[in-house]
Amino acid sequence: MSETHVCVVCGHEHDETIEGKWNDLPADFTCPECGVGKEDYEVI
Amino acid sequence: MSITLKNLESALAGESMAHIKYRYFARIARDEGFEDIAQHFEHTADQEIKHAWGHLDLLVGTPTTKECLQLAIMGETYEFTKMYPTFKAQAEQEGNAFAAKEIDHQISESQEHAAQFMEIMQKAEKRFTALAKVEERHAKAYEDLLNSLEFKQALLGGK
Repeated sequence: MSETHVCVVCGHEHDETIEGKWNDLPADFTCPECGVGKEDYEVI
Repeated sequence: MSITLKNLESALAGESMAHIKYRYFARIARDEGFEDIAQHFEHTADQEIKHAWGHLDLLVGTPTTKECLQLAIMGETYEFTKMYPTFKAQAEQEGNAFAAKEIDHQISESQEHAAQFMEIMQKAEKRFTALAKVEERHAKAYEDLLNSLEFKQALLGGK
């Protein structure tokens, strides 16, 4: 099942069906819009 | 409580009430076709807001946004846990079912407002925490740049 992760600050969405698995992103991934880290995304 | 603080609270309540009443009166005047009178009520109502803000300034100062949310949560919680339940019981004692029903509605509205403010506060806290980490990374990046610049300058200076 694919998930969408949303940045808590700016609302940037990472949709696994388009951009690949969340867990495959590197640990130092940051939001392309506002720079928050992976830990500050939430699953919707 | 000091008498002046008490008076400021009464003045705040009075000005707030006047504002709401004038808005209500403006609506009535407009419905009856008196646009100029409606506007006069609205103009005065706006001035009452400024008066009330003056009192609030002395009563609460300028709290942070977080403190404002906490004050709002406290106020709404007081309304639905203490104030309205007391009013409801008294309305029922008097056999005023109409008022009791209206108060019931107010209780659920206050509950909703408190929950909304709470949600906003939690969201804001999450954001501030996340942003603090980003700023820390920015600071670190500038520091690295500064260090490398100093290193380059040291190399150049050494030549």
